[in-house]
Amino acid sequence: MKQREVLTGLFLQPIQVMEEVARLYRKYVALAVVIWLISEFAGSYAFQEPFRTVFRGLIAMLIFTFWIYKVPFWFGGKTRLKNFITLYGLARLPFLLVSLLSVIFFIVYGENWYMQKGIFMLSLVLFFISLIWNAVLLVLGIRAVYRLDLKDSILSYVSAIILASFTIGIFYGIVLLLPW
Amino acid sequence: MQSHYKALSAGILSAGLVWVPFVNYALAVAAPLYAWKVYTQLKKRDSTKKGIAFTGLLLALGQVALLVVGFLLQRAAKEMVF
Repeated sequence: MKQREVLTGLFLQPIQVMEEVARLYRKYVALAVVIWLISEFAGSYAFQEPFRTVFRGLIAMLIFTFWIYKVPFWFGGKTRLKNFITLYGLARLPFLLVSLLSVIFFIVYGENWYMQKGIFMLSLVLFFISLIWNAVLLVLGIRAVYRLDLKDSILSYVSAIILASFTIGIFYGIVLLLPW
Repeated sequence: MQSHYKALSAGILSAGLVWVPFVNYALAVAAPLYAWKVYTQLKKRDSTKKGIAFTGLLLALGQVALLVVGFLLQRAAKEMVF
């Protein structure tokens, strides 16, 4: 598959694309890392977030990534870190599209673009669609890359999301309890 | 349903129902105990499915930790002067 076919295939034939990624991950790892980084930085640029918020978001995202990487091993899956990074980066393509759209909104409407009538609702709906599509890509990716069946990949993804939310919630609670 | 999936379901259920009063306390006791029982059984047999039960155990323990942190936060909020 060519890289352009992989990008369109993530929307049109995700099962085949993820099986290709599981076999030939070295070919797509650079593309995946680029997608991952641009989706992170474009999103934070569009919201003009201060460094502290971006840093907190980065920690939260890394906690989610850690659990999504780790939990499928307990379900009997096997993979390499590079293969996982390729899968995870490519699965962020829907987020990349939404964050690039929000950068366009930022350029057109200015700093408070999300306060514009209708734009907020539109970006919210698009964000939820990208969130669901990201989940679908991750589940199919876990199935192909970790060589699990569909039931186990769905359960491992759900468990990973719950464990990540727990970790973030408990850490944040402890941070609030500390005397500073 | 196989026992390792039952242990996982106990963990996911306790996480999903953490906001329901009284049910959360019942699950905070029952779910970790059940998941622990299944996990130790599978570990003794050296089953390949023990990891699934372990995930359920972690989920159940996470719910307990969340309840404890929530309780401490509530207590701290009462002592705060606004």
